[in-house]
Amino acid sequence: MTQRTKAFTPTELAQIDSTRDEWMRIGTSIEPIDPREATREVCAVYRAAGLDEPKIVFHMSSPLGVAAGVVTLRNLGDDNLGDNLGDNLGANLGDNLGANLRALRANLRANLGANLRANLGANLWDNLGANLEANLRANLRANLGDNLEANLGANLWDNLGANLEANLRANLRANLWDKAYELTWSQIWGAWESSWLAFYDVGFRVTRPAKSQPQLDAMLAAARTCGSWFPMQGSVVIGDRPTLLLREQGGRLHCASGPAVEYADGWRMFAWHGRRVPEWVVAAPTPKLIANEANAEVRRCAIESYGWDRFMQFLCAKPIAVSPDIAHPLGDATVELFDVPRDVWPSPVRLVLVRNASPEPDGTYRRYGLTVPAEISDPIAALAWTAGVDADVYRLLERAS
Amino acid sequence: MTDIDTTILEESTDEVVDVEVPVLCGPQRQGDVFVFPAGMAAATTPTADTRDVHPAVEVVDGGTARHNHTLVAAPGAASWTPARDADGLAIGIVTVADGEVCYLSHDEHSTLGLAPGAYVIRRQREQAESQRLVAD
Repeated sequence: MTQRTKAFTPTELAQIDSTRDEWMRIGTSIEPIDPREATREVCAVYRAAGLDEPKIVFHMSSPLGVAAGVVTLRNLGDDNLGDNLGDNLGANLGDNLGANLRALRANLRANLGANLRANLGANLWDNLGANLEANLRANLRANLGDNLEANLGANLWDNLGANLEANLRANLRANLWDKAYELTWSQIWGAWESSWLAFYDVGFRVTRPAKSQPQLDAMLAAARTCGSWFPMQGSVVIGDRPTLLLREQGGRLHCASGPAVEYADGWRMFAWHGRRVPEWVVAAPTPKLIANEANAEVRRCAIESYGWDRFMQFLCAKPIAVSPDIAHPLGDATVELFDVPRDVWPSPVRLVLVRNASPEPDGTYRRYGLTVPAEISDPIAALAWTAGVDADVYRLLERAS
Repeated sequence: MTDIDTTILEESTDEVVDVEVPVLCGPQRQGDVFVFPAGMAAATTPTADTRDVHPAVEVVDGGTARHNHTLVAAPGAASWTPARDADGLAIGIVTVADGEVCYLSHDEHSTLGLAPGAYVIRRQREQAESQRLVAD
C-alpha cells in the first residue's frame, strides 16, 4: 500500500468541510430520536462487529437514564443492590424512573432464563468502540502521511472536537460523574463522539473512497440516530437527545437564565460560558455563596453572573493600590488590591483583582479575583504570595498565559 | 523565539499546535501553575521517583471538572521528579536536557516552552478559611 503525500485538493477540502458541518448539525440536534430506527442501527453495530444482537433494548430519555438502565440490567441477580442503585439514580429524575425500572426489573427476572441472566451486562465498549478506533487509526495512518493526518485532525478538531467533545461531552460526562461513576466512561455519546467518528468518516472517504468500512459505517449510522447508548452483552440501553441545548456564539454551552442542557426526564446541566456550574450560579448567585465557593473558576463565573461591579459594590471594596501586571500579554493590564469587609470571608483577606492572561474566544480577557492575607498591601506582593515567592522573584516573570 | 516541533505535541496529546511558542529559561505562569527556575523557589524531592516526561506528564490532574496542565517532550528530552515544599505548592521538578525543549500545554491557556535547565512547577494558592490551592 502506498502512502499518500499529496496535499488535499480543493474538492477534498470542501468534502472535509461539509462532513464537519454535517456532524456539527447532528451533534447539536435536539430532535427526539426515532426509537425503532435507533434500535435497528445499534443492532447493526453489534452485527458488523461479529457479535450477537442484544435481546433486550432499553430506551431512556437522558444519559443519566441510560446509567440507571445499565445499573438495573447489570444487577438483575442481586436483589438489594439493583433496587438501591436504580432507585438512587432514579430519584434524580423527574419521571418516576426508579419505579418504572423496578417494574421492568421484576419482569425481566421472572422471564429471563438463568443462563441469559448470568451473561447479561458485560460491557462491550472495548469490543465496539475502543478496538474499532485503534484499528481505524492504524489503517488511516498507513494510508495518510502524518502530515495530512495532522492537517485533517486540526481542521476537524477546531470545530467538532472543541465544540462537541470538549464542550458538550466532557461537561455532561462530568455532570453525570457526580451520580454514576464508571458508567459514564463506557457510555457511547452518540453524535458527540463525532470528532473521532468524523475524522475517520472523512479520512477514509478521501483516501480510499471505494473501500467500505462496515464497522465504521455502522457506528456512524448509530451516532446519527441515537443520543447516547451503552452496549452490553445481550442488552443495550439507548438514550434520547436533549430537549434543550443552548450555546453562545462560538459554540460554548451557556445560558444566563436557566439550564443550558436539559433532557425529557428532567436531567439538566447549567453552564456559564462553557463552564459547568452549579444551579445557584445562574439562578440565584449571592455574595455569601460566592465567598464560600472553593473552586476559583466557578467563583469567577458566579461573580460574573452576579456582576463584578455589583459584587465589589456589595463588598464596599476600597482600592488600596494598583500596579501594572507582570508579563501580561495586554500591555496595560493592571493588578488591583482591595480591602473587603471582614464578615464575608472566613478569615481576614484582601482581594487581588487581575485579568486572565489568555483571551476568551471572543477576544476579551476575563477579570478574576483571588484572596490573599489581609496584611499584604502591595498588588505584586499579593500575586507573589499566591505563588509562594518573594515579590522580587515574581517581578522576574517572563511570560504569562 | 523557536519554532515548535509540532510532531512532539501531536504524538503526545493528539492535538495540533501550530503557533510559535517562546522557549524561555526564566519564570513563567500558565493560569494557576507557575514555572520557576530551580533555586528561585523552594522544593524538595522526597522520592527519587524520576521518569521521562515523554510522552506526557499531567502535572495538575484536571479531574472531571477542571483542566489539565500537561508537560510534553520528545523521548529523553526532559525528566520529571515529584517534589514538595513547606507551603504545599510545589508539584515537581522538570529537568530539560541540553539542546532540548519541554512544553507545558493546557486547553485554555497558550503553551509555554521550557529551555534546557531545571524548573520547579508550582500551584497557586489563595487565602480562605485557611490557605487553599487555586482550582480552575
